[in-house]
Amino acid sequence: MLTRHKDKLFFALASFVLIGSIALAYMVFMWVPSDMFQGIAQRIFYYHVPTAWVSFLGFFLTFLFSILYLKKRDLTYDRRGLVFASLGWVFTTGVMITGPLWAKPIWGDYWNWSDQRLISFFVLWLMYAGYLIFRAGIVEPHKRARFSSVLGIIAFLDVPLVYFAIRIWKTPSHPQAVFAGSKGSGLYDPKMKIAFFFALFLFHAIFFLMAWITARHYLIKQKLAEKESAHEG
Amino acid sequence: MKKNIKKIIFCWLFFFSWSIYSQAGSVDNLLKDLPEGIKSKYEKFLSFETNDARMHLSEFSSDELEQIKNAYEGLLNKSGKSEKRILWIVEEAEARKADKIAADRLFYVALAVIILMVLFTGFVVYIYLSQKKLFNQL
Repeated sequence: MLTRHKDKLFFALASFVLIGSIALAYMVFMWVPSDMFQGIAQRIFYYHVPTAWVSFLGFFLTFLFSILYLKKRDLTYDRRGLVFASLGWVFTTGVMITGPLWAKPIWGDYWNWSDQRLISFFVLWLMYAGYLIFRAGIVEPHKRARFSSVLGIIAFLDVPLVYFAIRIWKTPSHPQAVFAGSKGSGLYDPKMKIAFFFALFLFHAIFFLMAWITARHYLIKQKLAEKESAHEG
Repeated sequence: MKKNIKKIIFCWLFFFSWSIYSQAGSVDNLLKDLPEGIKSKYEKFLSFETNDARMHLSEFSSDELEQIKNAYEGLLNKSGKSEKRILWIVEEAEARKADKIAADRLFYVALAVIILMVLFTGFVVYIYLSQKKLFNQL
């Protein structure tokens, strides 16, 4: 009964993601007005910012489950931390791709090494890549979970640094943040706001749909590992 | 001979000052043709220093720019045809430049969206295939 209910929820979420993605593409390419200064290039913003936002959510959940693991020593928390770290890293990769594709027509170059927001974000991407590689190198589950949890907590410290980099270093090249009261975020038209918040909602749905699939994958992997270790024992 | 030279100089001065006057007067004529709301904005725009004026172009809406352009074209109808042709040339050059920039930018937006979708779909497909493999081992 519960499985059937879960399946229905899964298909409802998947359908929303599919229809929502088409609706967002229509909004971005046909409906929203072009930005006064950046023209059409600013439309990458509707994909780039929600992707970054959701990657932060992934890292925050990893941080949360890392703390829970260290407190309760339950491998379920470690597995959940891994799910969100993997997804956070995938979404960060998305940000690392869409950002330079916005920068090329606006700055004339894909990357700016003097922009602290970019550097701190690149460091974040490297840290979670390290987290995933590091995990693969340790076989003993609790030892792996302990080290990963510590790494998950330390790596998360870079997230607020990335977010506030624009305000701390006052980088003029990067557009301002949408939240926390900064001017010049670029959402001056009501249509832009509607499209942006719809994109934000849709990307949360995509994130949780992917989390659902990934969680099931890691659960099977863990059960298989337990079965193998019991067999060896 | 001296009288003729005087006449020529007089005529030249007259036509020169008349052309200067008509050029200077075109701004006033343009102002006359504009609706009230745009008139004040246009006057403010004229008051900016040449170096800053271009930055303030964004303060005009597309509709206002169109109205100012139409009023100016109306003015040019009254004067010689060469000015209007120059305006067309400028318009055409700007339109072609804008088209190229827009096409370039659209390419990058489309590329970003496609790559992002491929990344997410690729990840889900990879997880699904690995899961299938693990299921068989269970």
